[in-house]
Amino acid sequence: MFGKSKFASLAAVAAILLGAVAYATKLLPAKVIQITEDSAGWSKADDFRWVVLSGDPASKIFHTVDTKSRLDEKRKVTSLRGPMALSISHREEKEKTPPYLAWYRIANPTQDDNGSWTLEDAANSKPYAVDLAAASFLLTPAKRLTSGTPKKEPSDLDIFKAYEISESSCEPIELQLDHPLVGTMAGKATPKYLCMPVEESHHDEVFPIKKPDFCFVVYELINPAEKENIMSLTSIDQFGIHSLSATQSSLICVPARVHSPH
Amino acid sequence: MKSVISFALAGLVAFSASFANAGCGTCDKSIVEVAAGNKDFSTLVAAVKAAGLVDTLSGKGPFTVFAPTDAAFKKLPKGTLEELLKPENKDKLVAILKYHVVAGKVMSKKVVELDAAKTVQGQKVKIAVKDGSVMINKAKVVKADIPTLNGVIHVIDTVILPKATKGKKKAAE
Repeated sequence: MFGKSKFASLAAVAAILLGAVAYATKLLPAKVIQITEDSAGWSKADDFRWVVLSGDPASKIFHTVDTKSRLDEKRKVTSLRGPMALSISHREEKEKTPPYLAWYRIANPTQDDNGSWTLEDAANSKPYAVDLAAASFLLTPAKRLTSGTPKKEPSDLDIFKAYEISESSCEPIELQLDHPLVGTMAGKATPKYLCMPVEESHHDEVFPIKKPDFCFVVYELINPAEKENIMSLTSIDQFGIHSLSATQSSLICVPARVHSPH
Repeated sequence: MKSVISFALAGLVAFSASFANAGCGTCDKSIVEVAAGNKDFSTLVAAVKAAGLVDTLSGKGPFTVFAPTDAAFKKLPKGTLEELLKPENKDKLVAILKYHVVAGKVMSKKVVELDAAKTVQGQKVKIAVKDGSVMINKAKVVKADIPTLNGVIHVIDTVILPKATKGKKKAAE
């Protein structure tokens, strides 16, 4: 279904993620990279080409929201802690304040078995099957604070849940992403998370799903290059203002489509 | 100077830790109750009581409060706080406290889009984002978006003061 030629022009995928976040007793999935897409009608190229930084926040918050993705039969109380990582749009080079996604760890993961699904993604030449476990992170639109008024987030940027992929028929594939902020990320990678849009209720505000069919797979590089801290940054999202020290990256995000469970 | 910075940092760390788990645990409490429940706001709470603003800030609102920590009050010139807390200076204290309050619930995402906001005291505060920090006049927001039943609290590291009015007019009616 996805011929190589279709994806030859696919701009690299990828992104960088930062470092292992020493969180409680365990490290965070240290690095995430995100995205990309291009041809093949996945979405507009600039809409989802990201680098993901992860890092150690100066302080973490606890927050509780209600969420519902297509995998949830009903709204779920979702306890969050973070932010633990940030995905940065590839538009960093074009815009002063590109859109971000802030990654919050879900402190009360539920529904360990989310079924078997078939995925197609923009980096893979053929569909593959995955078993989904619990959702580990909630990703919410964010902005980076520098100086001056930050630009508004893209109006069609959703909130996502990142479901862990416990089993996959996908063989390791080569991924690469060149990002002005973090350089080139490349290497063999396997799918780690499937991110699906969610509806969220937070206090008296409801965030509906804007692009229900837009999902993405987060690949993890098998042998990521070691990198020094990249930067310190301040972000703002629906939960407040946060400072992060960004470190390495080993995760790359790729636009995907999800088909019905087996 | 070093000791002042150390003290401020220590206060900030303690404050951050105390609020790390705040989340929505504050959503069912009023602004005054939330402040009273945190030791880093003991000076602010004492000032609010002395100014007779407890009922107002416990009311329906909603309000946005730029709340100075105890460390922020300690940065005032020596004797200033003690003077403000005297009954004869109540009007001045009320004005200063009202200068920290904006009508409505303004979350940080909205705050950073503003360049000024009119306070309940009547004068405006300047808002700016500089080097990744949100500044209210010369005060830095060190913690944002603490939700309460009747509004939201943004914590600042410096007490902000309204401009003195000319002549004999008191500084903040």
